[in-house]
Amino acid sequence: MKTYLSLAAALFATSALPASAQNLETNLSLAFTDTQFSKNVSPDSTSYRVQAGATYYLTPLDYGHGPYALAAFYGRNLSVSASYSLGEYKPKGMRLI
Amino acid sequence: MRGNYIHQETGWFADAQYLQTDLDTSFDSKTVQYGGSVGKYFAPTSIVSLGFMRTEDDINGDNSRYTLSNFHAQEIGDDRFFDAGFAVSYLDQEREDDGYLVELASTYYPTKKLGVGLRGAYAHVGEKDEFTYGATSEYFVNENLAFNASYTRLDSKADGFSIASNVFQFGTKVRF
Repeated sequence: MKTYLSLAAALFATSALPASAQNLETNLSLAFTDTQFSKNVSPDSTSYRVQAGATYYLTPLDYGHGPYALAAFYGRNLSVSASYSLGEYKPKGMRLI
Repeated sequence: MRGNYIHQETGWFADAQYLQTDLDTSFDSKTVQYGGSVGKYFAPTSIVSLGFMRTEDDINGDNSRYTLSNFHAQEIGDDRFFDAGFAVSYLDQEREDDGYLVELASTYYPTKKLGVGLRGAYAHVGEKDEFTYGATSEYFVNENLAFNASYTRLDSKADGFSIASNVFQFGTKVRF
């Protein structure tokens, strides 16, 4: 529980970061997938995936023109990015031929 | 990994990306994807691009995708915006008949901080028809912090066989 609280506190602490000269964007996402098959070719399954990534913009993002989500598109920012994800696949039952 | 370059004066741009997926099950397999695109800002907030993506997969063979796409964003007054994108791809498949993919996406921004969008795609490859559609949303608490969520539904049908998937995604972004 302490871990979750610390994570939440760290996220909201970013409100105190300076709003100018932003060059780095980090992201974290969690995805759940539920899959059903019509015939006994493969078992139905669930899976999850955690992904973490970072993008470095060679020039600071500018929020003066468009939506925050499109700042890099409006600003024509050069960037490099890398991400890593880890997931697990869980079949439901054993219906494989 | 991904990187892009934009020539500020002319609006020409290029990007390249590389992705590797390792599957660790009773048998090990690896998928490598690499490619890139070249395009141009033909207006301040409109681009068109040509892309190529190669997929080398131990299980499904080696496939290539050639994509023509465009994207446009526009203010519609009172700090409200929308964007829309369209892409069509030719799918060169090694182990089944070639096919095509058509994608549409649009997002409405009632404020600069909030975006809600819809997207859809249709692909025909070999004997298989695939419909993908979903909704996305992202909210920026401020310039540093954003939360996003999306739902995607996939319906794939072939000769007497179908697959249905539901994908729920939640994420956050922090900008420094």
